[in-house]
Amino acid sequence: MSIWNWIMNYRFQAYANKDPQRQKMVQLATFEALDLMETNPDQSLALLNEAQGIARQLQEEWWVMFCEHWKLQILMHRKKDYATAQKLAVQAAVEVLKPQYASFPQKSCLYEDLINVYLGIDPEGYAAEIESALAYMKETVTPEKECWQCLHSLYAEFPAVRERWDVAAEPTLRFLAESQEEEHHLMYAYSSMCELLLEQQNLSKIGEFAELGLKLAESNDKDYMVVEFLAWQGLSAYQAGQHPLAQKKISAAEQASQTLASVPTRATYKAICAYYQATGQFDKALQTRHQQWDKINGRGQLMGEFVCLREICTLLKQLGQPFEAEFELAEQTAHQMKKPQRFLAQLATLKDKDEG
Amino acid sequence: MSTQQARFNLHLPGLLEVLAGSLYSSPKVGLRELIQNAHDSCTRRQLEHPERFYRPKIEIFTSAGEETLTIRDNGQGLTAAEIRDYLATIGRSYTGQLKDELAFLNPEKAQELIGQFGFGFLSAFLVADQITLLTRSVKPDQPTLKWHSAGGEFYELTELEIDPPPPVGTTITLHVKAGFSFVFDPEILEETVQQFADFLPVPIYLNGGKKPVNLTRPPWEAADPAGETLRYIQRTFYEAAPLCVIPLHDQETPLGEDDSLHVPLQGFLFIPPSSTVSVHEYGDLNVYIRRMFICDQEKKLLPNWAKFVRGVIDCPYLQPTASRESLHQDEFFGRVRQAIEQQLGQALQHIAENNPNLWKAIIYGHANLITGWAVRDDHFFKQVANLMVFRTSRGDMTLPEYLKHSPAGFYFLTRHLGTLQEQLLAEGHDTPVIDASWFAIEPFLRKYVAWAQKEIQLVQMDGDISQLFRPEPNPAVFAPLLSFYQKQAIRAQLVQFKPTDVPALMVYPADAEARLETKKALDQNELPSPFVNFVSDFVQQTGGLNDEELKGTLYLNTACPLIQKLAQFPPPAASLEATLLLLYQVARLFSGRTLSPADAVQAFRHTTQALTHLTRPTQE
Repeated sequence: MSIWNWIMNYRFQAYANKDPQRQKMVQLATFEALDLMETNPDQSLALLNEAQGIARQLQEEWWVMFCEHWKLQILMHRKKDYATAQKLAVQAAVEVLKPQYASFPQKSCLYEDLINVYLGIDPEGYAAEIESALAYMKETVTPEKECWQCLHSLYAEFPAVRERWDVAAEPTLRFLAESQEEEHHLMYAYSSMCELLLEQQNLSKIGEFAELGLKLAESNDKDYMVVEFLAWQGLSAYQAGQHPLAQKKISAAEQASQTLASVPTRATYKAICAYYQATGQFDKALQTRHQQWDKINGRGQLMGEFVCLREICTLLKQLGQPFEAEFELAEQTAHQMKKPQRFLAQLATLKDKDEG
Repeated sequence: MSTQQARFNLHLPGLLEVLAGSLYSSPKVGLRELIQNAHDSCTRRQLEHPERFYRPKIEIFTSAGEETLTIRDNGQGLTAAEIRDYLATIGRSYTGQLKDELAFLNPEKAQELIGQFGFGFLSAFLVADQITLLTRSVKPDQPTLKWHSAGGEFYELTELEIDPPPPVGTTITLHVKAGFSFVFDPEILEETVQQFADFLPVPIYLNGGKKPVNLTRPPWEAADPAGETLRYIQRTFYEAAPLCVIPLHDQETPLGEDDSLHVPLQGFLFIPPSSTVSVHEYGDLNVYIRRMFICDQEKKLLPNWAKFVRGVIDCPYLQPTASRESLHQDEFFGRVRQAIEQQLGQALQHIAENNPNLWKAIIYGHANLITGWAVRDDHFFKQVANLMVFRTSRGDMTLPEYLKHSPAGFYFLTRHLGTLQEQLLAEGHDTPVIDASWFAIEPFLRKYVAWAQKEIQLVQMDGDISQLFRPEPNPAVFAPLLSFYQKQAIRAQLVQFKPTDVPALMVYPADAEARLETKKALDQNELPSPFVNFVSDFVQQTGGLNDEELKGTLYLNTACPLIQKLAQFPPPAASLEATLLLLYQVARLFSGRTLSPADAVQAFRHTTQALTHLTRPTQE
């Protein structure tokens, strides 16, 4: 049974049985809460809590966990609050071990959430665990299941968050291929492609994927992805020599990001900074990284924090400004990760060059 | 080198498919366009051929048997040339042209005209596979003309000889496509006409009815605008008793330092009695431009925080998109939004200051929405900070009222009502406790503290409640009691707290149950192996799993007279032990934490044993 079939059948039964409590629970957990994910994630979380309260009263354990999955999605992808997500994801992974969840259709999603949490927190430190967890999921998830594309998105994200661009192409292209039939995932696949192309310095191709992605983001009302694709379009336009258009797109992305209810994606900041660096506006790139820092600091995303601090140090250095405090913080952040060696080496290079 | 000029070739069926099929969101729009064309025809007749006794009207007839929908107007009709130049020329609009011509000569009348782009007529092919038009122009010596099209590249135009000739005007008959029979449902048809044409001044009659189905004017232009607006809200929004209605008016919006822009604005906003579910958002408007319906549920014209407000506006500054189903979000859109925000803000301020009961009703009905958006919008927060009413353990009160009871701090519970144990502690503190179960209330309180710039402490009662305990200054007195519990492997501590009638409370670490389950899953290897490290590392990072701690700690209240008596004047050992066990089990049960069946059996066994001992007959 697929997740959405289960939901639709359940909803139908609730209406057929004239069961207002269950109707309200489904209404809150699906239509009301999920509708608000983009525009008001906090309220969306509150609705999911409310629906969970009803589910607990009714002893509808599957619904409790359905809400838990969506809470995790909001915490990770809209609020970037990995500290809270980690606790929920661990508890959920333990909870679904109970016999009543044996055939719960969203069980795999909750395991994928746990992988996702560690991808956000410390993908390098947990690389071995993530790798074997992904392999385990590949054994249990089949292509006809909804989480098949989610699994491939995790495969694509894994090298990207670790900045292992040497091995990122295959899983990213695979994700793109697997998502062709499913708009929602396809949009994220386009985003992964843009980031990969930037790292491969194949900037002329970014515009194509950004345009496709923007259309999907707009038609799916994913405002935070609209912002990201506008930023990619700006970068791409600059590379194509369309400087006024590039400026316009970047400004639009920056303005829209100010009013976003969600925290902009990692790639949004990356694209905007790449544009400013390409145009020699290092102060603006620095400003962008500071904005990112304000949004992600203290939310458990160690890798994200480290990368942001490292980029801030690099930019400060390019601007000829002191960066001891930021450097120290970056070092501290790296030390909180399980395998900090690679990142400490990056910092050392930065320092060496500075001293040189 | 020779250059040739050539015409574009139009493939009409393809164009019809694109325009009719992709431009509009719903086939109902086809009906809207035809009604508006009929309306424009009547207005043009008034403009170009004024007659003293002319009474414009539009009639709509349906025939399910013949599968036809007919729209008849007594407007100015069309000549053969006008059919060729306008009706059959896509992108050229007679009305649009006339409107441009009148823009300077008669701007008010120009505004009554709706047509603009010259392809609305095509939208009829959304619902029809064939269209027949019978028309006679008001211009002298014009024949009756029949125009027919099946949506192909060619149309037929025939001059009819009818004696006596039909009245001046146009009759359009649509042969309705299969699958669009909704137009034959009288209720749907009436609703559709009302939705699109309620405010158009030309009366519209359905199937020979004697009364027009449209209002023919907006409620704010009625003789009794207030009463008519309430009736309109009931009829259109199914809202019998809104809390209040805020009429809108023209507004000057600032443009730089010394300049301003006059925004013509009509309509009203209203506040429903409550949100239909605890969190349902409104914040939407029905939008008209010069009485022409554009869209409902437009959410971007009201400020973000105004999710408890609905309304209807008519503003000629707004620019419709080509489909006329939505608005261009240009600079004027922003100005109109600004004007609405200004008037709504002033009205709410006025209500808050002059009509506290109404304000209370608004706050009560939409409390969740208002707190939620106030946290996100500084300006709105300032407007409502001192006026919001919060539910507390001592009744409803605003934050300034609360601070009169408890000047040093806000005491709050984030779980709805909290456990009985938490409420009891709160009451013991002799302060009202705010119900902060709605996610936005705690951030609201934090924002209030920062904004009020006062020394106010925030105390979450359902966090670590041990923060409400004070250490016992003379623990030696109570050592025998502690020693008993230690022998029983029960963690216990000596503290003082209010109310002093409570002898003991059992406190567990946060998520104790979840942590116990996690421990069990790890100990018994229940997790799929690749996930074990994720879970075990998390457990380590969060302080590990101390078995003893997870069993909870019994806090003996040394301020309680019973505990003092047991310590200072202990009864015989067996009675003391029975009493202490009883206190422990009562505290466990009272804590509201889930007990395993085995725990519950043990709790009852101890309780029964203790009561049996305490109630045994005395041996005198």
